[in-house]
Amino acid sequence: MVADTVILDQVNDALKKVIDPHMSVNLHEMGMIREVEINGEGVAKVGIVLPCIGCPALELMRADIKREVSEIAGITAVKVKTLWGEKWDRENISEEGRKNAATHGYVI
Amino acid sequence: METTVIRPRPNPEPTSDDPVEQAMMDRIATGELIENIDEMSASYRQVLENTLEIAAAGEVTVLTWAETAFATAPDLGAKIAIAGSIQDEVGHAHQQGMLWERFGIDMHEQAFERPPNKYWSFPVMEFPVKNYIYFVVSQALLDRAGRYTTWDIELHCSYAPYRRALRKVNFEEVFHFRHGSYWTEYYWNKSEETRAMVQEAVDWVFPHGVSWYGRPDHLKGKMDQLKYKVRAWTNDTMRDKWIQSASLLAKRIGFEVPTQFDEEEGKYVLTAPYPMTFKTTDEGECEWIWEQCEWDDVIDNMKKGGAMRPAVYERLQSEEWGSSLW
Repeated sequence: MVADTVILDQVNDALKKVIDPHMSVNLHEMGMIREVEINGEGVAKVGIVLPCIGCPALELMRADIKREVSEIAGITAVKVKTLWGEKWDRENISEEGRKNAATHGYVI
Repeated sequence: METTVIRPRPNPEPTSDDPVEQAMMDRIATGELIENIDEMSASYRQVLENTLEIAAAGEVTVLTWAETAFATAPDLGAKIAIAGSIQDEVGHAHQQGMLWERFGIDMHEQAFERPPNKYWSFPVMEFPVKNYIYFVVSQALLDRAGRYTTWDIELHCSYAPYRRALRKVNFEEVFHFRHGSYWTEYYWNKSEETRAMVQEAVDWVFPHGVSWYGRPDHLKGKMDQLKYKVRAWTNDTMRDKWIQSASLLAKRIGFEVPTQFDEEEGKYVLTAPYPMTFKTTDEGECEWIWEQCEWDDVIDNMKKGGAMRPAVYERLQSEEWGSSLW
């Protein structure tokens, strides 16, 4: 169980390296990460929501998530799922995320 | 094989015969940033206005060019990517247009009432995008080229509002060339057919990148942008940065570009004729002439423009939808 928690923390840390390319804010700070699970075979499942329905950066973010998470020892595969049934709202952006966005000209 | 090493020249000394202009240059040389128009000398103001005009017009001309890629976009995601790019470029033009308005310019008049033949853009923007692979390769290489221009201003411009305005712009440009690089790699690996199309697109787009920055330093006449530190990178400084960056991208993905690494120089050098220019075929396509020419030929051809001039600008102006849209 301890090992599972450690690896889950590592996955969440890895997801902090993935940014929304339009905002200079990582996906956690954007409030876009809604599910992170790792099963017994080391398969990581990441569920994301999108700020806009037609996000041109979707494939790029999926690729970045897979790259960052797959580098963690013990992870055998990474599945990224877009949660179309969940709503994203600008209120989901963290305070830290707002500060980062502001440095690039986005005042939220 | 004959190669060309791009050797940027040092920036010119900030000197002027006019004591007012010299005082302005001296202030800037100490690192002072200009915040307000009433702090500007006449020449400094003119240089800034010219820079903003070219930048704002250049951004907006991407719109009708990119739109020509819609027909070959393979799926909804690709169409959205083109639309997203267009929306971003409108935003970039808007940012710089708003700055230009501070100088008393009527942006509506400039955008919609300026004669189409007074618009100017890069020749590549005046030829239709052949297909979606050409579009993503253009993003990978030419948004990368454009970003060096805007990044220089964000990092170095002596007019502080311009620096700030370009922060968001540059972040989006990085997204564009990352998007282009991602999908270029995707199509490079998808099939033999798409790989061949990527290489064909690179062969066509790369020379546009080489000539993107205009005349080389030793042939450039006016150096006022550098003297007033509106920019700090010379044409050849940016060209060299772009060649290094584009060559590394090519090496990573696997496509060929006309450069090779020169051990003595410690960097990539051009193996293509330099400079070279294009001709417009009877079918209205841009065809590169792979022979060395004079820079005057390059500039003359840039001034002449591509096959979509002036229609591409007329269309830009006819798309003012007005309040009826809402």
